[in-house]
Amino acid sequence: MIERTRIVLPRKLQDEIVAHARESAPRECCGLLFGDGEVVDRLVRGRNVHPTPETRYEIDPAQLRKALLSGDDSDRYLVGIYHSHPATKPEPSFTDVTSARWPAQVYVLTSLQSDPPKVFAYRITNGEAKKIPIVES
Amino acid sequence: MPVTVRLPGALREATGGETKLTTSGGTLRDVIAEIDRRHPGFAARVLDEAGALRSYVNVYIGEDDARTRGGSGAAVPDGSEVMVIPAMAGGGG
Amino acid sequence: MPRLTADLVRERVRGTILERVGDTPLIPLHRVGAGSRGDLWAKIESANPGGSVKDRPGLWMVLDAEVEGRLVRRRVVLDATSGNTGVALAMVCAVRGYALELCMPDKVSLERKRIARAFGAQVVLTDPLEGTDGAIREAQRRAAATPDRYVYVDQYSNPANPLAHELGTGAEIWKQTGGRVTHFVAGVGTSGTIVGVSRALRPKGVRIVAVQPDGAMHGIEGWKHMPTALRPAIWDERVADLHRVMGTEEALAMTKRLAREEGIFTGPSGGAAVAAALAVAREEAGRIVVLIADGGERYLSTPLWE
Repeated sequence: MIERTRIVLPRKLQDEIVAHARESAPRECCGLLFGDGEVVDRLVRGRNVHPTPETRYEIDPAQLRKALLSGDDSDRYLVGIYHSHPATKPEPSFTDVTSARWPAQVYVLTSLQSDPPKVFAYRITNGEAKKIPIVES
Repeated sequence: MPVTVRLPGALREATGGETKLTTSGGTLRDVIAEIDRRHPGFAARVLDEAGALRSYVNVYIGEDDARTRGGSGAAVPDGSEVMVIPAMAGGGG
Repeated sequence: MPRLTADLVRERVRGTILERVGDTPLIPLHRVGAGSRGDLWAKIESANPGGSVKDRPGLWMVLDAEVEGRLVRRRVVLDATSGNTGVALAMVCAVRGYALELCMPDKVSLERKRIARAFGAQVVLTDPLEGTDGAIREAQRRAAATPDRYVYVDQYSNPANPLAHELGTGAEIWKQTGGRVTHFVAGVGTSGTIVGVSRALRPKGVRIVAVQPDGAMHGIEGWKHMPTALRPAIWDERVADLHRVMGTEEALAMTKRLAREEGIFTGPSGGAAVAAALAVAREEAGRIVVLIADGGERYLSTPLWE
């Protein structure tokens, strides 16, 4: 399994995550971050299909399937998954930690609680969240 | 033509590193059982004790969500591509 | 307010099937534990009348509500569970004469629905796509909408859950081992077992080992089967001295060994707990007690026993 200890997320993409979060409020936004290794070069906005999107997200699995099909080796090119917390802190909640089933991917979070909203990254494995650094290049 | 099964990275350790497998067709349960015979413990990860797909496991048979085709009893025709996709979910509230 | 004690519980259940809740056997695992530094002993919770360790919190949560005066004026007991806790609550409510409503997702097996109804419980089926979360939300909704009608026992946050283990399970283990227990090993589900037994035994110097599945896509039924919507209010990782993880394959292999070598028929979580306990027994001397939560009947149709 690829061990990502940091994520390279260009400022432009961080801004896009924040923009998506603002547009989706009061619902949580979600999406996919593609690239290679620790470097993200592409963002795909996800469709949040959870029945209570103000406090939960679930990326439309049909959309996820299409996005992953282009890759050859399962989810190798999926570097991270992002979502927003419109009203709570930008750190993984208990729900985030217990629902996390993509251990190789980086979980990127933003919150609209602060202004301007900041973006943070975590690895969630073995029932624990560990913050990792975000670098812009 | 055999069935191709694509697995997410999260199931890689259950299959000794393989994320693309081939099996024969049948029902989804048959396909999973065949993988389990090669890699004991695999079935328990995706099916509960009643033999139903675990709630956080999505499976696509071609373009169709297996849950709309009978869940673990869904037909998997020869030559189809099966994709196992764990739910990508969470939330702050 | 009177607090529930083991004596109070015994008094209230005298002359009923509920007398058989708890006081479960502690069996040495001679073959599985052969060659280890420590002695491996298993506490067999399938011996409870409802078939699992959940009989304990099931009984204590209901009696706690009685003793605290919450089960008055013919209120209805309510919870979201289709598993062992549902069976336990159904059995307890049948004996104590309470109506029970159990919220569960519509995809659970016919057997689960039938067992609950057999005891007279009312089964409320919730959207299968929303899983356990949906069932919990429904229970919460009912409790909030008509609070005077219900006593929502909520095993994930009810202090009577770990209390049952502190004054029941933990106290029994101490007595059964003559105070010689050195380690206690159990899996983490609602965490009631680990939290409660830790309260009883850690002050006496016993090392507490909490075991969790090794990954997000594990096959160990019942472990960390925590609702995604709630944090178990009772869980605190500091109650354990050691945290171990267990792989699905190793768990299933041990489940088979337990049946074939010890005549103990259990499911994946039992195998997982014993596999983890064996790893402890290999390294540490002493008396290692592991809790086997239930029997293996539920898993007979899975590839495990093919």
